[in-house]
Amino acid sequence: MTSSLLTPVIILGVTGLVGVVMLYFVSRRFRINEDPRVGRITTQLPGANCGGCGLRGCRDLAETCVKRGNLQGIYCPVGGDEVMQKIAAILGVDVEAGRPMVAVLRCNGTCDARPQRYEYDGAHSCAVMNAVAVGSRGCAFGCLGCGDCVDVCAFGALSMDAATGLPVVDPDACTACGQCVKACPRHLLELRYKGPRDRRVWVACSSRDRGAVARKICANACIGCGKCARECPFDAITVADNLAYIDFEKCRSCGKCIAVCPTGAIHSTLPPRRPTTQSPTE
Amino acid sequence: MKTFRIGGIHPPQNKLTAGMPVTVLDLPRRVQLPLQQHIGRPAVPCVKVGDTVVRGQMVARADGFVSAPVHASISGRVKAIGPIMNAAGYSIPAIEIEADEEAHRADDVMRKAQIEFDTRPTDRTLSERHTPEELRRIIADSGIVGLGGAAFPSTVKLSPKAGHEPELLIINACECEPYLTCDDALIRGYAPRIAEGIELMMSACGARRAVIGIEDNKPEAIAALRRALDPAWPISIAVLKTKYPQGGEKQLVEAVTGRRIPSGGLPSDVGAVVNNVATAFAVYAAVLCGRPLIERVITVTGAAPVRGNFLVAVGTSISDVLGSVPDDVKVVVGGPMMGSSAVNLQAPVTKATSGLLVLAAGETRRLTPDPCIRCARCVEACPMGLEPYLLSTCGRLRMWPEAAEARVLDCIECGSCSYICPSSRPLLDYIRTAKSAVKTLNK
Repeated sequence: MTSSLLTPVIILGVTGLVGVVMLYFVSRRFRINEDPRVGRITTQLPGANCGGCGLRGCRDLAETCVKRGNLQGIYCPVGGDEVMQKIAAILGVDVEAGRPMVAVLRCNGTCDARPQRYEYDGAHSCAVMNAVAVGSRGCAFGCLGCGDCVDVCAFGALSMDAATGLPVVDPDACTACGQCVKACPRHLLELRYKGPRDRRVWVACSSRDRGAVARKICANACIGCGKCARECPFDAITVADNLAYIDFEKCRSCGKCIAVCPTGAIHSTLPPRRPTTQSPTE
Repeated sequence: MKTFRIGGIHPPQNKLTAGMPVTVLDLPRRVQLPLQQHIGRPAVPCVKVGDTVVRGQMVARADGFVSAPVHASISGRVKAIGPIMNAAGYSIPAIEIEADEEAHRADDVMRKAQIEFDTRPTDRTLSERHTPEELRRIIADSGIVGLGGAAFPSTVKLSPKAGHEPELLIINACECEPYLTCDDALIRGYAPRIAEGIELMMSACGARRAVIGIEDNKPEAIAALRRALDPAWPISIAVLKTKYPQGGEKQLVEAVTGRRIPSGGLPSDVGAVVNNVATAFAVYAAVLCGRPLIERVITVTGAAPVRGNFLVAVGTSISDVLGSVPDDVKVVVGGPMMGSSAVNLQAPVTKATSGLLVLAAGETRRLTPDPCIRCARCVEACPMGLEPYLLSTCGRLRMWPEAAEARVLDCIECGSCSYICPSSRPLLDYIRTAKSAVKTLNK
């Protein structure tokens, strides 16, 4: 009875021992010496693997900054300054404060401004619709309204507004990872500086059609009249191809351009102006 | 009877205009000539606004080798050079020409004489008068592009690398798209001229033999070709079993020769070059009559007010060709399988337009897609041996590397998968998205 128990114990014990020895040598032979900082940095990162930093994911960012030994040109838009400070502490380097960015929609072709001209019954995807024709609203540059941007947003910062038919960016949830910018077949979403005290001004139109044509298609279109460019005290606005563009590096969010725009194509997050004596409603 | 082996479908043929001859449509008073009517670099205008141009004059020259010039299709004055709206509603650069009364009358007389000449029986013309280089130059200068639909500059196809001359010229007369009959009508009317064009093409590219691939649903056209071809000539006819997409270049090469073109390859890899039958006619007109490509035969069909096969000047607006159509119809430029719907009927007919199909309001509606039931009928139907359900999913979920691995670039966009799908899923729509994304990534 003793021997019948002893045999399997010995067999198992010896097998286990051989396994241990083999594993020991294998682990010595194939050991990868990884900088422990890579793991520490990775745990600090948001882990969304969104690619917003321009690298392949969070781990790639960690590896890249450990390899380079500095943080020049590396910025995690999702984690922001807080995370970058932590990474800098791990690496023992200084980091400049980044300027937080946010996605804005450069189209204001609401259902009222752009009535439906054609019926589209193909696949529910902006990319497909864009490839077929100009889209049911007739504008070759504007939002197609199928929500490809909403689908790709990993942070739930985009949603479709049923009333306007346009996507809405939630600036608090938006991490400026840039996935929506890539997904939009018409490049209507743009990453811009959040601006001082969250104040930013942008042209909510991308139409490069001639003014009269653009206006015929959409009541809210930029017609490239250039009034805003003349009004801007900081030379931040340029008009090219019948379309105004506000350079967010130069813009100081004074809001003067908004008042002169004849079509209301300039949007902002500025607080509403106090009514002046010359109110346009008279 | 021969056909290609993998996949294929049998959609209802609906060749409503099958027996109709080529009818000459009057020249319009105004044409819009897009600078890019072909694959490759857009042409560069060589006239100014206000210039007087005559019919057949070059108004935009080719920009490089893979490009094609554009010629005035009516005489008149250049009214504008600038953006116009194409059939999809996007803006494209074009030259606009307006005719006055006198120019219009002169054009009409000239055109009547030309058409009368084309229909007259002739002796066999000798192509030895031109060297291959001269022929290729004439074809290039005449703005000839593949008239089957893709509009690839013909001179590129007909200029083989030294030592790689194709042994076989395949003439594509399949016209496998439902509804379309323009090639059929052209062959029935002008078979001797087409034979001359084929000979010219053979000497341009150095091919020793030519085969006309034609589907068995065009018996009259086959008979016309038989009458026109001398049995002693190295041109033969291959009658093929009707199956879509037989007119696809790769499918046709396989159907005619039995050789399969490798993935990512060209017909030249198996010693063949494929050209459309209408292109052969255009080559005849360019080389033997000195007429550039300024008009083509298109099929107007479906619920159009007047159906037929019309000889139309390039640049004529779609609405001029169709006449008045109700607002709720869908106008498809091209055939029902590969054509695209037009949102702008003021857009011009281009060199690539093979037909205008008018679908009444009830005929066009797409069914609501249901979930994929894994029946694999799309796999069976795919003539390229791909897995459309997989490619489509890759396209929908933006999995571009996976799509590339599943050979999305081999897709010929024939639409057999979408046609056959019992769940009416928009398979091709997503595959096209994946294809263009992969192409962009590869650049």
